This record gives sequence, C-alpha cells and structure tokens, in this order.
Amino acid sequence: MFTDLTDEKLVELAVRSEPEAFGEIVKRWERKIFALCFGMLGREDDARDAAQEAFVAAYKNLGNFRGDAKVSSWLHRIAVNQCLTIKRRARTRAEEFLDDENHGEDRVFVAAAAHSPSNRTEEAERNVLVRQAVGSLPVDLRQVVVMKEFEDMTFQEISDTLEIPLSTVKSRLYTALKQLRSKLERVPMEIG
Amino acid sequence: MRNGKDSCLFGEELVSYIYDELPTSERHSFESHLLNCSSCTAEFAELSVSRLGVYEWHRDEFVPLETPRFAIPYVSPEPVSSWLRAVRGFVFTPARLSFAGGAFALAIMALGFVYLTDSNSGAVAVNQVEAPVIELARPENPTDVAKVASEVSADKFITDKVLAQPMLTKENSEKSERRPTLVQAKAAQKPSGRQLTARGNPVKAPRLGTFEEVEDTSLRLADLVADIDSYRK
Repeated sequence: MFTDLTDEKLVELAVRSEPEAFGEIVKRWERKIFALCFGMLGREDDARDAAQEAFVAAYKNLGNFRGDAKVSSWLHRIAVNQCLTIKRRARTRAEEFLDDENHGEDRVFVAAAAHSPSNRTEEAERNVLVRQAVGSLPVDLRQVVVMKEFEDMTFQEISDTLEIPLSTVKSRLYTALKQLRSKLERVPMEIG
Repeated sequence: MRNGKDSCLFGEELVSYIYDELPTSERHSFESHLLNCSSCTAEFAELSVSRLGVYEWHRDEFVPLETPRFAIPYVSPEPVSSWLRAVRGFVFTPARLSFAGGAFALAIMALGFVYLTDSNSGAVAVNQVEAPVIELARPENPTDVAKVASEVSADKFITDKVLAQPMLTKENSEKSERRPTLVQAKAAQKPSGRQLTARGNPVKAPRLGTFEEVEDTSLRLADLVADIDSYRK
C-alpha cells in the first residue's frame, strides 16, 4: 500500500491521517537502525531496546519532523541519541560497557573464561576486543564506522544522513581505523 | 589530511580504496603507486586490519541476529493541529502566564476598591440623611406649651426609646412613675434570686460591672422649651 511512497511522503501521511504509514518507515529502516544500535552499544538486548525506543520516539515526534531534513538523517539522529541515553543509564547502574576500556579488558577476559565453552575460539575473543575497541571510540568516529560496516552505507549516504561533507566522512573513518589499530595492536590478525 | 610519511597519498583515498569506493580510473593509479610505496603499503595494511576486525565482529555477532519486531503505539499519536494543544500552547506561554497573573491581581484590586468606595458612600449617605422638619403650631399662650409638647412626642420620628422616657409634662410625670425604662424592664426580666437551669445547675447571677449601658436618645425638655421660646419671640 505504501511501498511506492518516499520516506518523506510517508511521514506526511502518518502525521495527517494514516498513522499506519509509519509502519512502512519502520519496515524500511528497522534492520539498519538495529545494526546502528548494535554497533554503537555492542549488545543485542541493549540494541533492541534502543531501536525500539528510537522508533517510538520518532513516532511520537512525527509532528516535529521538518521537511528540510531527510527521514533517514532524522531517524539516525534519534537512534544515536537513544544509544547514548541507554549507555548513560547503564553507566549510572555501574554495568559493564564497551567504553569502559581500562577495566573492560580484564573483565572481558574473566567473563570469557567463565561464560564461554572451553573450546571458544581465538576469533570469538578477538570479536570481544574489537567490540570494546569500537565502543571506546568517540561517538562521531564510532558512528561513521558502524554506519559503514554494519549498515553497509556508502560514503555519500553517510554524508547525506549525518549532513556533513563527504571529505569529513572519509577523514573520520580514516581516523577511526587508525585509532582502532592502535587499540588492537596486541591482537593478532590473520590477513589474507 | 595527508598520511604523513611521504605525502604521496591522502588518507581519504586510502579509505576509499579499502572500502572499494574509489573510482575505477583512480583505482588503477592508486594500485600502481601502492606497489612501489612501502609506507603507503604499511598504512594500508594497518587500516585493513582494523577494518577486518570490525567486519568479522559484524559478520559473527550481528549477521546471525534476527531483526526484532518493533511495536509502535499507533493509538496515541500527537496530532499537530489539535485545538487543545493549540490552546495549551497559547495559555501556558510563560510571558502570557505572567500577564494573566498581573491582570488577575489588578482585577482583584479594582474589585476591592469598588467595594470600599461603595461602603464609604453608604456611610456618607447615612450621615447625610436630613432630619425631618417638625412643624409646630405656634402656641398662642403659655398654657399651650403642654399641648405642643404632646404633639412633638407624637411625631413619627421619635422612636420607641424616646417614648420610653417621656417628657416631664404634668400628665406624663404621673405616667413616668408607672412606665418603666428599658433598663428597668430588662432588670425586671432578669431572674430574681437563685434560679436553677434545666439540669439543676444554678444560673449565674449578674455580677457587678456587667451592667448594660443604654444610650439616652430622648429629647431634652430644656431644649424643647428653648425651642418653643424661640418661636414665641
């Protein structure tokens, strides 16, 4: 019913008369927003909560959506804000989180020994370290990495979504990868 | 943003190459440079390791996940053109709130002023009530004085209290002995001696100092006689 309409038209419809039009927007963006939240938070349950809250917040604020921005930009901004809120909330509860790098590494190794099966591979441990390293990046760098790798967006799409110049997207990604390498130096990586 | 060492490459191009977003023409030239430049090769390897790590993390942990179903509460969207919201927005603007508060205070002050003015004018009106004109028949001889006095005493503006203390005419002087004053009448109503209430408790007798003052508003005979004299003259 709504598949032919653009995101902006769908929002307009949802605001005016048919709230169900927002369901089409959710269908289009749920995987990407979930991926973004997963990349930003590093945990499935937190990512699910953040994505859910992001969509609900977007729906409740449909009336505040201005047509001068793209719906994708607006959704991404809401989702990133929700991720930051969830991280802040978790930090106050003194939970383990990715950006707690100094203590996080020790904790993860202990947790890996305690919770994983004895045949846990080196690859799985490396994923844990990568997750922590990504989580420790500044938000603007992390967001670009996650959008590129998890949402599979092009540089131009990231530029449009974040409303920043294309060169800024590339330089942020370059800086992020450099920082990640320095954080992962101790981890052996097999190339090729 | 140069990559530093040989200033032969830009980081942006390196990143574009890693993510396969470099245009084909630039791609060939970059690859030929990469084969001959050790510093660029080293940087390319470092960035590729980072990218590979994120890629594997995504592939191993995120790709297997199913997308959850997100429940949207379609029932309670906030309509933009809601009249209630518009009214709320209009009324609860801070500047308008303070204005409304000020207007309310002014209205209260105005009401108070009007009320006080009305009550004062009422008092003035009471003070401005003109005394009724008493028309007396001019007495032709001194023996009519008593007659005039009886006419005055019968005038409508003389109150009952005045009648309670009649003038000392010959006729009334006899009545005054029979007619009690207000104080005397109340004193007569007071219980004499020790009386008991319905429960059998003694009624408190009036004590010294709890007397009642009665304002004497009666006409004075001397003033009346003087008035009559002035008519004679």
